[in-house]
Formats: sequence, C-alpha cells, structure tokens
Amino acid sequence: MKPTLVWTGLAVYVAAVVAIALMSRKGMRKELNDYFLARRAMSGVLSALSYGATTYSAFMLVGLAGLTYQGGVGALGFELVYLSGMVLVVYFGPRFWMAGKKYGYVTPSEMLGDRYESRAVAVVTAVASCLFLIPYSSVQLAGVGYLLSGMSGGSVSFTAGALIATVLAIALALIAGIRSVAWTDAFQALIMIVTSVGVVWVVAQGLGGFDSLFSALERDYPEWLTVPGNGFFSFATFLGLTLPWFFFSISNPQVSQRLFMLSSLAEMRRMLLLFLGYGLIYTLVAILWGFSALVQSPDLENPDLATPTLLSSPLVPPVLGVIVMIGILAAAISTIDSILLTLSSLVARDVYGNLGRKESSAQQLRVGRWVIPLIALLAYGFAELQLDLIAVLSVSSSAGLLVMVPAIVGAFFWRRGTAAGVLSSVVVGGLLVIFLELTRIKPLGLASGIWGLAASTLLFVVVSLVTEAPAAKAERFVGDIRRWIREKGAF
Amino acid sequence: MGILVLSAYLIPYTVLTDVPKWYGSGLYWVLFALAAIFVMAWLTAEWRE
Repeated sequence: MKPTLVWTGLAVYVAAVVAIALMSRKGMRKELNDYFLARRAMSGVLSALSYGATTYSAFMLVGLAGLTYQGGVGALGFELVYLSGMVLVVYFGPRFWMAGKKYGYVTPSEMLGDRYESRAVAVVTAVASCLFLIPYSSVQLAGVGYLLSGMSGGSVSFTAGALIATVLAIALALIAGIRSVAWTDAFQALIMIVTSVGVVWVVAQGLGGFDSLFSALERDYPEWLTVPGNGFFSFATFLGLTLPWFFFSISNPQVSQRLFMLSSLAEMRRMLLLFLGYGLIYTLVAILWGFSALVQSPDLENPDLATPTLLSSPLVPPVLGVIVMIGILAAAISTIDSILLTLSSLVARDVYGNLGRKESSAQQLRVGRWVIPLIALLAYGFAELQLDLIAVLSVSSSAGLLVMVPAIVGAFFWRRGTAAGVLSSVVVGGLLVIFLELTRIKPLGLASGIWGLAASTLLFVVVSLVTEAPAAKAERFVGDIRRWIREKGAF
Repeated sequence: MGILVLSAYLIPYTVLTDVPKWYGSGLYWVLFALAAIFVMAWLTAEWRE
C-alpha cells in the first residue's frame, strides 16, 4: 500500500477526532464530577456508542479474526457469551448508578472503599486495576505500531505508529475528560462498524457471496464449524476464555465507571440494548472476516497475520484497505483513551486522595490531569521495551480483574463481607493469576481466570466470616440501594 | 437467563458437535444471543427516568 495513502488517511482521521474532542468542551465546567463523569448526565445513545468503542479494541478485527482462522466457530461462541454477560448490567447497573448518585462516588474503587469502610480497599483495588490495565494498553499501542508499519510497508515505523497512538490517546482524554472521550468514542464506534461491515461485504462478494463462503467452509473446513472441532476450542479452553469476559462489565473499571454516568435508568436501558445490537453486528463481522481469511489464505503460520494478509490481498482495493486500517486504529485508540481516563481517576481519587491528608476535589482533578500523560508514557515505554512480563500481564488482564468480582458482588448482596476479605481475595487471587500465567501452569487443564475466581471467592467468604463486618454501613448500603432502585422499576 | 447461558456451553459441545454446517453451532449461538437480548429487554422494561 502506498505510504502517501496511509499518511493521508491518518491525517484525516486525526483531524476529525481532534476537532470533535475540541467541540465537546462546550458547556464544560472545571470540576472533577464533570471531567470524569460528565456530571452524571449522559444520554443512553452516546453511552452505548462509547461503551462499544471502549469494549471492542483492535482485538476484534485482529485477534478474534485470528481465533476464528485458527479454531473456527468457537470464537463466535466465546464473543457472544461475553455479550450475554451484559445481563450483569441488569442486576448491577442500577446499583452502581444509585450508589454513585446517592453517595457521590467517582470510581468503582472509591465505592468499594466506602462500602467496606477501608481506605486500603480503595487503594489496593485501584492499584490492581493499574497493574493489569496499563500493560493491556501498552499491547494495544504496540498493535497500532505493527498495524501502521505493516500496512505502510515500513514507511511509518513501529515507533512512529505507537507514538502517534500514544499522543492521540493523551489528547483525546485530556482535552475535555469523559466528554471528549465519549464523543470521539461515538464517532469512532461508527467508523468501526461502517468500515468493517463494508469490507466484509466486499470480500464476501469477491469470494462469490456468503453462500459460496459457507459452501467452501462446509466442504473444505467442516471442523471449523463445530466445537471442539479441530481441537483448538476444547471445552476447558472455551470455559477459560469465556469466564473472565462474562464478568467484564463489572470487573473492568473503564466500563463499570460508565454506570455512574447515565442520567437515568431509562437511559441506562437504552445504552444496554443499543450496545447489545451493536456488539452482535460487530462480532458477526469479525467472525466472517476470520472465515474469509481462512478461505482466501489458508496456509498462514501465524493466525494473527490473517487480517493483514486479507487486507493486502487483491480482494481489498487499497483505498478500502486504508479505511479499514483507520477502523482498526479507531478501535484501539477509543479503548486506550477510556482506560487512561479511568486509571487517572483511580490514581487521583483513590491512591492520591487516600494516601496523605484528604485533598480537595479540585486538587484531585489537577493530579488526575497530570497522571493521564504519565500513564500513557508508561504504557508507551512498555510497548517499546516489549517485555515478556508486560505481555503476560496484558493477556491476564481480564483474568486478573476477575478477582475483584467477589468484592463487587459482596458489596451489594452480602452484608457479612469485610475489608480483610476483599484485600486477601484481591491480593492473593491477583498474584495467583500472575503466577499461573508466568509459569504457564494449568492445574487440571483449567485456565488462570478460573483458579483466580475460585481462590478469590473462597478467600473473600472465609476471611470475611472470621473478621468483623461493618454492620451498620452494610445494612444502610445494601438495604437503601435496594429500596431506591425498586422505586425506579429495577430489582 | 442462567439456563440460557448454560445452554450456550452445553448444546454446541453435545448435540451440535457433529453438525459441521452453517446451521449448526454458529446459528445456535446467534439465536442464543438474540434470545439473551430479548430477555434483557424484558427484564429492564420497567426501568424509569
């Protein structure tokens, strides 16, 4: 692909998102509540698009397509089980929302700290989120580096590509906080879906239409249409992949924080249903993309090359190739900037705000704005260094964050939960996941996330039972929130 | 909803494991996702402003 085409596409994309970010500043107030939560007045439609862009990273058209290429239809099951995990929003969404509204929480860690009456809980859960999500961001940055250098034939170097992504993510998060993140996310969500649907349509036509695509699959790759099929998606692998992602909507702060922002439960419902429709379409497109690559270029040694190979095949005209490249870039940037903003709020509010004397919200906001570029540069540094440990932490991010689930469930549904229970479950569970990922040990053939969740649940329950619960707080928190959300039609 | 999610694990790994067609596990999972969306719409129908 011609470098000038790549640079032109890149310039148009960057100009468009920066312009949208600048426009989103209108009506903005310089206060913490506005910067991180848009004054808890976000609409369902904007939230849904932003949620989609944040959740779906470059993984979809590269990683998921590669999984389909390698293992077949099990990849569809994996991603749709993740989508069905949004049912947790039905139960936890109104609770997060109401707790934020009544008690003024800005971050999920702040909520846990207050509910369990422990500053340590807020600090530890915030640090754990950073530990897993900064490496995850750095792998996304590296992905952009590879994508741009690969598609431009090296005229955009890996370093330049990763640096462009870093600077852009900083800018989109810094310009107007969640406002610029959400509005640019929404724009990028539209780019992602339109470009991916368009290119899959064109490629399928090139292969003789969807009928021919599926005939070829049934004839030449029948094992790719079943599970365990060719053996890649064994039941243990499927379970190990799906379990961490099923809980994604409550375990990952960059999406659970969104539950504080909606203006009403009716808007939350709108967000949920619109996102589900978006997710279903985007998933189907990524899977069809992977199957198309399998039929078009069946002999790749590395399945992660399925997308770049298909994009450079004669089936995709160069201009469309650049447009899809922008779509993948948008998917990566929209995930990174959301993570940056959420992590900065966790560091400012829960780490900085809890370590010394109690600082004012204005001071926390100033710290948060400084933290955004610092975290981004840290992620960029890790991307350049390409350390094994960073790759391990990134892969284990969804499994690692899963260890917070018992504490989150307990906050709303179990009055006996204690701070000691939370701390032991998050610390020991998190370390267990990292240990299993580093040593690549799979006891009983089960993945790290399953063991992490089992260990953290057991520790949370046992340690809570032998320590003293904050009874009065628990009674108020659990009971009041249940009563308030019932008045709004939730349960 | 729990039964529905459970079926997304059990059905493709049992009855559909020998159906290497587009209307096998692939279609099942798509129908599962549509059913899950429908159930979520129903569960949240009463949510108000």
